[in-house]
Amino acid sequence: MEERDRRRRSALALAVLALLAAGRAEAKQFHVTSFSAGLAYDHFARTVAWGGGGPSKLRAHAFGAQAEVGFSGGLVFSFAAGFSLVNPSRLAFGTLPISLEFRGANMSGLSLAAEAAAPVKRAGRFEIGAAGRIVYSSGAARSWPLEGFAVEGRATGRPDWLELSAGPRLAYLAFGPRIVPFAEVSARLLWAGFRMAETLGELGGEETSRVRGDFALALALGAEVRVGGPVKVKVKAGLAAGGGGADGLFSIGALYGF
Amino acid sequence: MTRTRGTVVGSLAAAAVVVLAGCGLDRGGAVAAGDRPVRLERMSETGPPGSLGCASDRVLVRFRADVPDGPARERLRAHGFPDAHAIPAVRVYSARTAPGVSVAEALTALRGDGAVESAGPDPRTRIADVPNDPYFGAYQYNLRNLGGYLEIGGGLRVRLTAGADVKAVPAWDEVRGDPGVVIAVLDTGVDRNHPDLAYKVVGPGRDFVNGDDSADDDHWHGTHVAGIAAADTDNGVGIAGVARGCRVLPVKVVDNRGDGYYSWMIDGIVWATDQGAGVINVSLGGDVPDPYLEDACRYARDHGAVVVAAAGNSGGPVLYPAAYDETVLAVAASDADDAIASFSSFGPEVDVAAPGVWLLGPVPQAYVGPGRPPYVFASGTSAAAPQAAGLAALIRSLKPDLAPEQIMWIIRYTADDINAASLPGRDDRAGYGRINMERALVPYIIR
Repeated sequence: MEERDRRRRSALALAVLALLAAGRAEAKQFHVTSFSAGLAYDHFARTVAWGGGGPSKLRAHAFGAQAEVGFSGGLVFSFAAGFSLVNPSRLAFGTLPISLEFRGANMSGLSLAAEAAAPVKRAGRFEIGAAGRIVYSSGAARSWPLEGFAVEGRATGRPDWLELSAGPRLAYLAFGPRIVPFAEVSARLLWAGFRMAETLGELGGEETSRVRGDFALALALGAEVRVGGPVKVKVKAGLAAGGGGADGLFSIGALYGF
Repeated sequence: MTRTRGTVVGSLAAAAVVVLAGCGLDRGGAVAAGDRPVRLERMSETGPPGSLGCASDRVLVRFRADVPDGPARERLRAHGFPDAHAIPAVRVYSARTAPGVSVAEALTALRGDGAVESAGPDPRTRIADVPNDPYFGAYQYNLRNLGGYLEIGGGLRVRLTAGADVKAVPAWDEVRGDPGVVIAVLDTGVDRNHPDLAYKVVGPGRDFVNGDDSADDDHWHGTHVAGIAAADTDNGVGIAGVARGCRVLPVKVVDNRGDGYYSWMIDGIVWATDQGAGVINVSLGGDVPDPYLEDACRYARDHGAVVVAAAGNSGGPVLYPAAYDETVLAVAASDADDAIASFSSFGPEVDVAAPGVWLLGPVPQAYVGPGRPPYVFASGTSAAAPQAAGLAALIRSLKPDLAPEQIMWIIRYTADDINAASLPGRDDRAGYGRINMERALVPYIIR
């Protein structure tokens, strides 16, 4: 429990740092300096314990449109909306009248994301900044027939997840504005729920399996590359280490500046 | 309350009984009493009741692929695991926690180590075995039917059809029964000294025939029924019970001739309910409806007890209380070929069937005489009902929050439609079909 609290405090500290950095940048000046839009893809895997059960892998993908607004002082807000796919594996629903074990299937949904990033301090060729991000995915319900029983039945599952991440970012500016590699450390907290409903003749029930604030610390390397004119590509890949082990994360986005 | 309301019909008694003397029960592939399979450690309390759970002092650890064995062992030592065992082919270390350190604490420490890719508890396993009760393999085809022949003795031999059983073995991998779930056996009493029941009977019970607190069996029927439902299992003695981990509450409501009155049955149902029985087995019945008996069954259901009753052995209408459709699960008898027994009563009230032809069960020693194994083969819906009652007790063990109606529907919907070729769907002979413990208890897989 103490370990968990310590991790939560660390995450909170990182988030506060990120917000302070954003606030500081915001306090200086506040007018829009850039606007760009494009497409973005995000993926992460996470080993979690649904409802305190055994380890289970959750793989999430989000693909959608992204808009990015830059403000004076370097503060950048971005928003994304689109489709999500999530594939949780090995969830047990043992309190339903007929116990179910979900062994994994892609579940689609809608995702919304918001991110804020701001520079804090520049030291020579390096710039220290902070970033915070929230992603929410609301899964669409998916049904499966329950076969082999005396009456027809169905199981309907619906996953949702929300991830908060925040942490410092170190950018290397020596290559000029065309290529800006960066390293990012972030504390990531994940909440997820998988609601399973069952109907079988006169029987029915609903059970939700949850992940509550699963913590992971991620290290990612990435770069922002201006590939020509107003087009910018942002790519990032890394590892997140949490209670269930180490998992990968990856994101890529292409933005057109107006 | 009058004690003359409708005499309980003697059809509760089995259609046939064969005493086990001279059956050669130590032959024919039965496991010898001393030949116990290896028992693993005591179950942890982290799993659901009756499940195997995880070890309380062991963990499994996988280091990152780039961490060699030496540094991995050093890290394990640093975390308090001096004697980890490596399984290199799958990059896993098995380690015992230090005394006083819980698995949760150990895992928290390990998972905080950057060199560790994953760490988890060490789930318990158990040989995919069958109980070591010596009569299980050769005689209890109702629980696991591998085909061949059932050698009853006296030249009687019954052909077995593989798979014509209640699928007990895979179901037991899921749950073996919570001792807190009690099956009340309303019958002729139960022999509390029988080696297969001595540790399973909750107490002396209640005798409504003689008006005292000792429901001893002065017949044989109640002991037989109790054993089928919940005989002591994996004890190297006799037979296996369906609800092998659950316990039995004896309630004597019929006399030493197998006769009784509705009033005794009503008293018994209400008393068993008030004692907290989760399941009430009534392998007896009468042929006239009675509103007070129906009220007693409703009382049981409304207070959380599942009432299971034998349909009857007359080949005619379903007996009461089995015929009370809303409150009682009526059980017909099938045979070793998954056919409905000719004697099994039928009607729209029949819910399910269970094997009820040549069922082996315990009886008082006095019934068979000294020197003979205290077990008999018997046939009847009386022997079928306790299997459904045992299944109800296992469902209750696994899911204590379910209402009696839900448990009854689970048993119905998960049955095998054994006469689908001639009567597809629910029918008046087999109801929804022969009960299937595996389908009722093992999780349905969604991919």
